[in-house]
Amino acid sequence: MPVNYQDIKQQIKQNVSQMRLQQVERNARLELAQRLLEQYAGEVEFLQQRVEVVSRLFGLRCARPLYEPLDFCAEAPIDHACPVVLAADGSQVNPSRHDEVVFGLINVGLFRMMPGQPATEVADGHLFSDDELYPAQGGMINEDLVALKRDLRERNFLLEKAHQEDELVLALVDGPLFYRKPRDVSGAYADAELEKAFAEFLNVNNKLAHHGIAMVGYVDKPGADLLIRLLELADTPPSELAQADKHRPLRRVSDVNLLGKFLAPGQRSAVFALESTDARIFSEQTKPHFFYLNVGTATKSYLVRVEIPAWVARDTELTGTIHAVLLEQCRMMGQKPYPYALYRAHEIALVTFKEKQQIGEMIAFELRRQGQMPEGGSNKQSAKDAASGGKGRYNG
Amino acid sequence: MLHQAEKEDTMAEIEIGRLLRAGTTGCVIGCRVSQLDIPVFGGLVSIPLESGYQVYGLIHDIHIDDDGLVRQLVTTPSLSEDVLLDNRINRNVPVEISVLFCGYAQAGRISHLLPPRPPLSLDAIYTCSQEELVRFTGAGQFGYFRHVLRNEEIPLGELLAAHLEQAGLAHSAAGNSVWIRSATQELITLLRDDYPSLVGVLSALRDAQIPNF
Repeated sequence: MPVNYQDIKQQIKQNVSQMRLQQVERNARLELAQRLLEQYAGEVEFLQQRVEVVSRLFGLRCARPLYEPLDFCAEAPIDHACPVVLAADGSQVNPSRHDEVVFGLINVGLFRMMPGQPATEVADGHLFSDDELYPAQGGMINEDLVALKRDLRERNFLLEKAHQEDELVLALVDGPLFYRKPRDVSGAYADAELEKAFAEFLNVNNKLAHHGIAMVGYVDKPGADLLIRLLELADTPPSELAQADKHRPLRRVSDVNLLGKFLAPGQRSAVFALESTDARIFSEQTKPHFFYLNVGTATKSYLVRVEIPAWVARDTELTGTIHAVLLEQCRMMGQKPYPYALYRAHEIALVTFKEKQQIGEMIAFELRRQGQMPEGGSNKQSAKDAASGGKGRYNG
Repeated sequence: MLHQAEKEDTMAEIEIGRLLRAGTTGCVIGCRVSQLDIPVFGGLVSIPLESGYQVYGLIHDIHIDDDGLVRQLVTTPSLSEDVLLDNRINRNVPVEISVLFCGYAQAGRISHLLPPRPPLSLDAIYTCSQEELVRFTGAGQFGYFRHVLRNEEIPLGELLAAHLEQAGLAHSAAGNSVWIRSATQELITLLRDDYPSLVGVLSALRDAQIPNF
């Protein structure tokens, strides 16, 4: 049966009608957020103390100001260092028992740019061994662990390549810099594997910091409300702080909604620390920090979040360099700003469906060559493939 | 296997790319943008095959595809030199060169028939040296023209003008100044019943730099 478009159309009308009403409410909340921002902009010490107090009461995820006021905005420095930009991105094939052969793959692409030098690219593929696919205690590697291993390989690849550079290196990755450890992983062994991989992840972050390699996480179209949560905390009466997690007068307003009102194109916001249970796991040097950056144009604002480790956040000159380099990178892409180096790293890393099929066929071929038969795909997968295959036409 | 003389000649030529796909009458070669200054429209190329013969063809189309990134970059107000070079040197967007097969050589003998079988994926393609161009075009009685004239999807006049200009200069340099006149006469004979094509070819030949034409 195809989708019932008539029915869906009716639901679309209702949803859009509700969204209009919600938008009116959100605008009112945004105005309140702006007033609170003005009120608490310079109260950095008070806000730091408030976060400190509340974080002891319950698990909190919000922004913590460092030294710049909340409404701080800065242009990129005109004179800045010209670092080597190393961008890494990873792509993975999650193993599926429905495929003809079960395999998992991580492919990491790395792109290097340095003004005046030819850009270079390199890819690093890793096929999971049988032991990696099937932990000793049973079950198959899960998607969370594959994703963590992918991020780990990205960091290790960056570390390895950055070591070969003599100049300052900006190591750029797509998405948040700081991996949030999944908590719903079932199975004792899987947990142990995850713990091990996560410990390695923290370790490689420490190594990157130790060698002065500036990691930068570029979060496109961020939906977070870290600064908004800070304002809600500031607005909570002291007697109600224990219930501050339920005090949400600015619900559904995002940081981008708020900062988009005053960050001009090319400007960055204040640098904040990311206060969260996950962030506390990181070492003092690598604790997550961030700022917002308007990479848009005079006609169209576009805010992104830039994540940096603590040691970079403390270095205003280096933060300025990251600000300037990211703007340059985004401007290379024209109408749809996004760091060019990251785009290229993604392009290098990407494992397409066709490539996945090809690798599957190569494994099946090798199995047969060595006298083993591939397990074969599931009937469910065959049925799905048949259903999505479309109708044939008789051509005579 | 290739004869020693053929091998030596091949070695002196320049590899311009590798085969993407082929049929009985032609093939498409992929090459990087950085290799693009060598192959020319109307140029004769050769594809040495392991089975001991080599296929000859004429370049009749050079095709540069776009992709999502290129479409986005093309509207960028000031395209950075680094980005430009990266796209030309590193990115996996091959230039596609279409070749029309027009003969083959086996055991030193040149034939203007279609090759017995097409080359295979990733076979290397070379430009032909001046000597090889003279040898191939001077063999037989311009039999390879029929492969060009049969194809309705190529810019006939332009292709023949470009090819005759290159081959005419090579023959002239080798001391054979009558080749171009014979080639033109042959074309007139072959196109005598197709007046529109003949006019188009002659018009294009007038624009070519052909000595004594």
